[in-house]
Amino acid sequence: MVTSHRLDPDLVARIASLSFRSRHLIEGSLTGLHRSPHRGSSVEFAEHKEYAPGDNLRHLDWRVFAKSDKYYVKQFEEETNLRATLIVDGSASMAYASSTARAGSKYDFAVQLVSGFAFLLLRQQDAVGLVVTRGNDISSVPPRTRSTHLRAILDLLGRSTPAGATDLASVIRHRLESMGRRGLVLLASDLLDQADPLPGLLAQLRRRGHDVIVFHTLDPAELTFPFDAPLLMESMEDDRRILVEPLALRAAYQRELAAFTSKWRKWAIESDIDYVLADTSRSPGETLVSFLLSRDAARGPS
Amino acid sequence: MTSRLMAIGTVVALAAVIAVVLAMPGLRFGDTAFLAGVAAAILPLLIHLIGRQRATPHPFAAMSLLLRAERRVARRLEIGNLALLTLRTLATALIPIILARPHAASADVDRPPPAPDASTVIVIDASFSMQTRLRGTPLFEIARDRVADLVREMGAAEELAIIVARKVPERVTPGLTADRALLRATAGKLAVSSERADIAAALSDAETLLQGSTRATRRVVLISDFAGPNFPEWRPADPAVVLYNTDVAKGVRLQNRAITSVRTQPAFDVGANTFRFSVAIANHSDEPARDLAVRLHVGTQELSGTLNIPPHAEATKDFHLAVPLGEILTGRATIAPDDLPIDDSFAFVVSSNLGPRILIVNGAPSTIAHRDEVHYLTRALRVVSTPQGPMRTTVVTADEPVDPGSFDIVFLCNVGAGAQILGEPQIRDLESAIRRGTGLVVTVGSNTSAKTFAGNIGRLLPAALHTANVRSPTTPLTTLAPPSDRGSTRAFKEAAAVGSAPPSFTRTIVLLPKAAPGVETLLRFSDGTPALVEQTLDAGRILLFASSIDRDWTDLPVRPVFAPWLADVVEALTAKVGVERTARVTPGNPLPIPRDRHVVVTGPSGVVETRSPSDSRTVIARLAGLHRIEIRALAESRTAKSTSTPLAVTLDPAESNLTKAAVSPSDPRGTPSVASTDARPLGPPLMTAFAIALLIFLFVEAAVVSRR
Repeated sequence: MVTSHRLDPDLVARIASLSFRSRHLIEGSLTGLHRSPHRGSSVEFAEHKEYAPGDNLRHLDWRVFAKSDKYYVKQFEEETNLRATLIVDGSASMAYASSTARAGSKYDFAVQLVSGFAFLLLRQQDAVGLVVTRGNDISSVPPRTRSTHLRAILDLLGRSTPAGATDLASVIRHRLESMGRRGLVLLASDLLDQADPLPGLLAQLRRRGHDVIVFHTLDPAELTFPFDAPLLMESMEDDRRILVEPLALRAAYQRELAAFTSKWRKWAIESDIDYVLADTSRSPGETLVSFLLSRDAARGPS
Repeated sequence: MTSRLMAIGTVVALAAVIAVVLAMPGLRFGDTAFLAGVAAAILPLLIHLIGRQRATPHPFAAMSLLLRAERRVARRLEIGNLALLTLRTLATALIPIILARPHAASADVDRPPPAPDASTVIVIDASFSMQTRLRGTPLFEIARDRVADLVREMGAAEELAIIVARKVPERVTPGLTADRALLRATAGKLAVSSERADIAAALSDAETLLQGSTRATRRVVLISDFAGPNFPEWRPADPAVVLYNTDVAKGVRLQNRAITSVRTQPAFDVGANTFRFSVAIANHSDEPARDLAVRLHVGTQELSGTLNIPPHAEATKDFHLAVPLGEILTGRATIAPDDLPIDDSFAFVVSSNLGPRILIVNGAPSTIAHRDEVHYLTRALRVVSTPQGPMRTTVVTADEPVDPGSFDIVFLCNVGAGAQILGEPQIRDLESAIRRGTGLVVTVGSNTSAKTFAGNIGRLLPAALHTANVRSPTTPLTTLAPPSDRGSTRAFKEAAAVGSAPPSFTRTIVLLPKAAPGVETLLRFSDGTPALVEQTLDAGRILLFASSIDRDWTDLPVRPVFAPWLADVVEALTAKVGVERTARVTPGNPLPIPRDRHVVVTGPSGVVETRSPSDSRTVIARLAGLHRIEIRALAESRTAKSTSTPLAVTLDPAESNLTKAAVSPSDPRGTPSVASTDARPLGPPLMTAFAIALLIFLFVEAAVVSRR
């Protein structure tokens, strides 16, 4: 029996009144909420263009002609739909869940976040695709705009369980080759044990015009290292293990973590990428709403 | 590292160790409980190892961050944890060690544990070497504190006695007693001496004291610095008596420099009236003495110089000083003070008189000069000259207070009747003087008889007096030419050689020479009976003349041979001149004063001690330094004179050698304990404070670790 992921009603209620707009120009095939690099028929004035034979006379600006005795036509913004690719890190490390994580494991948190985002985009008539990586296994759902496509996305998320070590860099590299039009790439991952090219590849996506969002999903135990008793720490992705005295190691670990997140945050700013440190002690809906609102605030009134 | 678990475990372990050890008073090194307590020190280590094995496995995602963090602090953590583990282990081990009363020095075994039913005699060394300062504190003060500790820690029914080891051991407690107040008071009054201690005698006395005890445990605790090459290795005769040696010097090799003697002799080759003062200094330290400052004070004059002395060697510094002749001079030599300052100063008395000192004891004084026993003798001695100078003659009667030891020759002329008989103390003084080199000449007379001499001075004489030999003036005895060329009869031989008429004797005493080694008849009368018999006694010689030296018995005093013969006698009997012959007197020994005289002794500290003629006790020199001895004449004495002479009491040089004695650390009979060295054990309040401080430290440490 195929287990299907279900949307969290609370999450749906939180994002019902929100919308997502890309911060950058994107190329869609349908009319939508997002600005297109092409001129279209929207009510949003873009610029004047000197008249050339063949131009639609409806867009001739008579007021300018009256003033300058020259023919100019008005051009308008084209608004198009979004083609979003949601990438979920399904490595074994994403299965880590401490007792203080509200949504369970980091993977559960990412799934809820991504499903909510997919719901939001599909409701805007945007095309949403999904990629889940589990070790060498990469499962994907191609981008579709149909509202029923949400079922396929939720099915894939429900089927997947974290396992193995993933190479997100190769996934992104593959997407670079296959993603033709400018769209949205969302990555939900703990970014642990990833190869060095990953930030570069994400930046490359951004340079090609894609809107890139990274949800850096970390468990509260990974953020604060709250352990007291000596523990034999075992890696979730390989056979590494170490006996640690948390009290003696906590400060050093927190310094390492701060350096790790600071590096990603700095990289995101330099690459004009949205970076969200998602603490799984918060609910996914809360995290998503907070992100959407902050993004709207940063974009200014439309 | 399981820090908190370790801290808790350590505290629990410490509490257990303390409980066990406190429940066993008298814990000692080697006890099972002590070993168990020390073994508990491995508890932190065990807890650490167990903690490692019991660490809970925990899957964790951010392993790369964790590994990087671990690598960053691994070395610091490792060192810190190692130090922590070591500290805890040592702290745990320290508790039983402290409670076992450790001794800081190179201890061999132990100090006596408190025993509820024991008899203990403490022998405290009060020799002057115990005045040595160890890091500023005199050893005797440390020893006195040890005595106080032993009194404080004595068992409930334990009985104690204290013996002070000096020249003559002194029991300062009335035997064995359990009276703590008395013992405490006695311990507080203990004082060091300037004497050389007879440790063996003190220990034997302690064992004698213990013989009266019925306790099963009988112990002798010797508290000493164990200094000196001749320190006795004493063992109790009774196997049940256990000896504990406690070294208050804590095994430290004590260093010392000391003035051992000051010798004087004429140095007229250097200058007029000049004497050479030779100051001998011993360096009993491991380091050479370089440019050691030496000072000499004689009268109002002062000289100084420097001296280099190799380690464990002796050197002499000579000073030349012109002094007035014919005087008794006092002086002092000093060197830079060290840890034992008492022997860095040396007082001495020297006479600048050069000629021999002659004491004539007149046994038959007469108001008519030519009938006086010694009339011719004193006059003949006036013309006798020696290479060293004129003779100094002192004439006394037998009842006058004179020390024969301060003379080169003593003439006993017709002594032996009535008040002119020598008392036993005087004879002992005389014997002592002769053994040290004083010559004795005894002439007989009307006062002498075989009876009075037999039980009196007769034991010193080379021949027994037999009977009087009375000849008519027409057939007197004469002397035969001496057979040998002995110095004391050379004049008779020379007179015979030149045909001089020999002296005639109308009365003589027949002498029966003793068949003893050293007895020799030097001169005989014409009837073959001995006229002059000689005997050596240690460093001195005794001459017994079988007749008188006055005109009643002989014409010898008016014969030409008389003065040369006296010169020969003086030369033969005088061992040295110009050097003070006074025997060395060390603290603890009796002062050389007549026993039946009124004596006033003023010590170097100003303390005056008087002794009446009826007082039979001896006056013991207690301190080193200059003493002034005033001997007051007897009221009935015809020559009512008082003499006052300085006397230098000097330290026993052997006691200045602080070389550590090799005292056996174990009893060959397998007695559980000879031995401890040391040192001040930690008292109970201090131990408790230490234990509490240790626990506080561990709790604080655990709190700090938990917040780290």
